[in-house]
Amino acid sequence: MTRQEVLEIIMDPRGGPSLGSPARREFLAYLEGDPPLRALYERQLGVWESLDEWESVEPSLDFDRRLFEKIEPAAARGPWYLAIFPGFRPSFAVGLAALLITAGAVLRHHPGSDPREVEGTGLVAVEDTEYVDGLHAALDDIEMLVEFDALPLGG
Amino acid sequence: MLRVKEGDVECFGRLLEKYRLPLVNYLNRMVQHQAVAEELAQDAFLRVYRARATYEPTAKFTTWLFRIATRLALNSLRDRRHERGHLSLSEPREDRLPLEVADERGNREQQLLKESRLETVRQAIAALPDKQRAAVLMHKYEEMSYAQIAGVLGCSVSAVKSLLFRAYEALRDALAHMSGERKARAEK
Repeated sequence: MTRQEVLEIIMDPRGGPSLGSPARREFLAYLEGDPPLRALYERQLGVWESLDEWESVEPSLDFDRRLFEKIEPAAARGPWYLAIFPGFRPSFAVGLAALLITAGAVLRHHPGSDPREVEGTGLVAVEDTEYVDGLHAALDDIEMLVEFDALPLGG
Repeated sequence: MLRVKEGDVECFGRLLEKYRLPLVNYLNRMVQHQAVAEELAQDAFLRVYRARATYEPTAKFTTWLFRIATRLALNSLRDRRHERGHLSLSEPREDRLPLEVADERGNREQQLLKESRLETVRQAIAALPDKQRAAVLMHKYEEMSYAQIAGVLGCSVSAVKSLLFRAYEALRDALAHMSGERKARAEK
């Protein structure tokens, strides 16, 4: 066992107790021969024991109910296109789909009509409306996480 | 999570069941306020629910969830600091649970001692810089690996080791007297 391995065990909250008997004997034998490391081990054990004083607390009994109260309005709003076209019906969707398939078949053979063929524009055709919603949510999260990454490691 | 993506509310319920306790406790230890922690956890779960259609299996769910939760906690702390001018997590806590009424004097003394030790731990954790605190809470209480913590904090594994080394160094100093007290109690 190297000093680095011993140090890793000391700094692992489950390190000591999770060792099997032979490894534990080796670990303790190493500490006997390295008083500074042994002192560190004892102080770190004190930290683990102190932190154990802060036990987990059960969330409130109405946690789920409050959460689903927040979820339901979002779900009840339904897809975004109903906000724009309140009278939208599945029969319209079938007609629209047929129209798009026909248009797609015509445009497919038109050079440059495929957005993947348009170079340097940065434009992407969006076929899936849920994907657009997802992108908005993802951009929101990215903005939040970029701010987070900008925090210094020390704090 | 892939099943939640397909709109399986029951599956979302199972996800909630699995992560509710660890997430609320992580956030509670981060912001040191139970009601605020629960609000933040709900915000995190709401984001999970909204993002179910776009979730990709490439990002490990735990890492993703704790990344969102950590950011929410840091935003909340920042807002509270702005509201109060300066926030000290160690100031008198609004959500402190009342001590249980103890019939016997000995029990009450023990309860007070326990509360005092807990307060010391809370203050030591609160005194850590934000990222060090997050790293310690995930490492000690959530038993997350260095790689997972690195994924949450968006830094390298070696940076996480460095964060933890500095954090535990500070905690060893701040909590040293507790070890002495424990030894004294054990010897009695």
